[in-house]
Amino acid sequence: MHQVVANRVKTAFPLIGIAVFTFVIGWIISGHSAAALNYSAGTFGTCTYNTCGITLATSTSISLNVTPSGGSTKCTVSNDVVTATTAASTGYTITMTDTDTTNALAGPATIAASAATPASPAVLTANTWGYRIDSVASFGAGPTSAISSAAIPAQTFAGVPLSSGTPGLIRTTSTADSGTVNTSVWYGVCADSSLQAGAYTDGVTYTAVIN
Amino acid sequence: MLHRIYRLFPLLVVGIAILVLGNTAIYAEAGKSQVITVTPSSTDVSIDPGASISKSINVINGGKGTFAIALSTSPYHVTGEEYDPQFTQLPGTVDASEWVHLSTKSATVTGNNDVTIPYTIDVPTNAAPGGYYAVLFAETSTDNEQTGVVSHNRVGNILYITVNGTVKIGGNLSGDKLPLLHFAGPIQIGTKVSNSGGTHFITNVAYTVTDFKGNDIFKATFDRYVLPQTEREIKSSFTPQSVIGLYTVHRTATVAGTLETLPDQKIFVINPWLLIAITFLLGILVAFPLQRARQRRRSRES
Repeated sequence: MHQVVANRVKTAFPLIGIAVFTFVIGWIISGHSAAALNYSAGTFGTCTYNTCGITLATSTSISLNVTPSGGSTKCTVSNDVVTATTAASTGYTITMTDTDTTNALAGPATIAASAATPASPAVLTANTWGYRIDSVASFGAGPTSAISSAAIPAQTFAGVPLSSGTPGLIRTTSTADSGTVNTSVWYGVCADSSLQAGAYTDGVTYTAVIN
Repeated sequence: MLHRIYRLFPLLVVGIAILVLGNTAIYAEAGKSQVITVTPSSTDVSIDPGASISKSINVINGGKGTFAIALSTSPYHVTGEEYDPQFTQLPGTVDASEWVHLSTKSATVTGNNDVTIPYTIDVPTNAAPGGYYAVLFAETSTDNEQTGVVSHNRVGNILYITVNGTVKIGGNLSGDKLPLLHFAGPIQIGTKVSNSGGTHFITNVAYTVTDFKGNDIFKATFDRYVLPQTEREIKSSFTPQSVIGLYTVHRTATVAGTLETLPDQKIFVINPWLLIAITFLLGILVAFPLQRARQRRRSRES
């Protein structure tokens, strides 16, 4: 009987030790880290209302060259890097729309914009194009990567909102930003051999304002 | 000495190559083709009905190439508590963007240069006192030679226009209840400031978190515009650094010039690992005597 109890104690002792050790370490960390806390930072900008500026930087154009081959649909995905900068403590919002009320790629023929929306994006189909931003709206985390004349990507895309419609959100912040965060806006186009060859184009407008 | 120089020569060449190629890579990374800035990004003016005010914006080309800019104005309003910006006219409201008269609607800005665009805000004599909102845009326009997806960059200066006169001001401060028990990660602290008046105001929101001794361990303040007939949520987050603690969250905000305070809220924070350790310890303390009693009972029975 005494031997059984002794064995139980022997078994339980390390477990009790671990629990007590964790508890003590917790209390020690509690005491030390509370003293080391800093006041929050980053909510104050370096300018006041009426003196802040806002900067927006992008490429001038994105090439989406695709070569259909073998009777199958081929796709190209490429990105534009959008960066905003402001010292305003309110942060900024960047949105995007088409430059006009037609969002098809115009050329020798037209490449229709994806009928999907950022709230309900879809995989691209033949002879359509669209955009996506990783981890924004319902696009999913991705990560999206550039491809050239490859198979239809698994990622979902949406049509670029018309200038008369609700703008697509690219990024919003609530603090000043020195331009350290780049947001990739990915554009994808898919084509099959039925599409007439040639140069196609459409314009998008990125808009940045402070919050 | 010369031998040493000869020996070091290949290293020197490699070093220079790395330096030159390295710089090229960085330049390619940082080399944006279109970099446009507008200053200021917001303008707050008060004008009498029938009066005008002259202002200007500065548009900067931060890139190397020259670009043409188009200047325009749009209505401005916001939607939702997150204040999503909208550049369309709210039904039933006055389009104040029509009051803004630009000295020019286009300009050319060479690389690393700027241009100043004067404009006036002319308020009609019959304008009712209150707040009116518009945005003045500067937008890059690219040549027609480009193909693919052609980008236009547009940056805005939001105009907060108050037409002087007697106008109702007021609002309210509210906030969601914070969790009484928190295990890990940041604690979201927020308030909602509503504006029931006829013009905008700037709210100054302050969050303070104190420990059980009353020491301040977190402070955050925000200045935000609140437009009439809207509610704006102002959020922050506090990440407890200790594994266990009792905190008090204080939230205040100025609403239409009056300081308002939400009731203080207590939050008990415990790290889940510490909770597991305590539960484990308690489990052992309870289970061990029970096990011993069962052993005794079995011994007696045998």
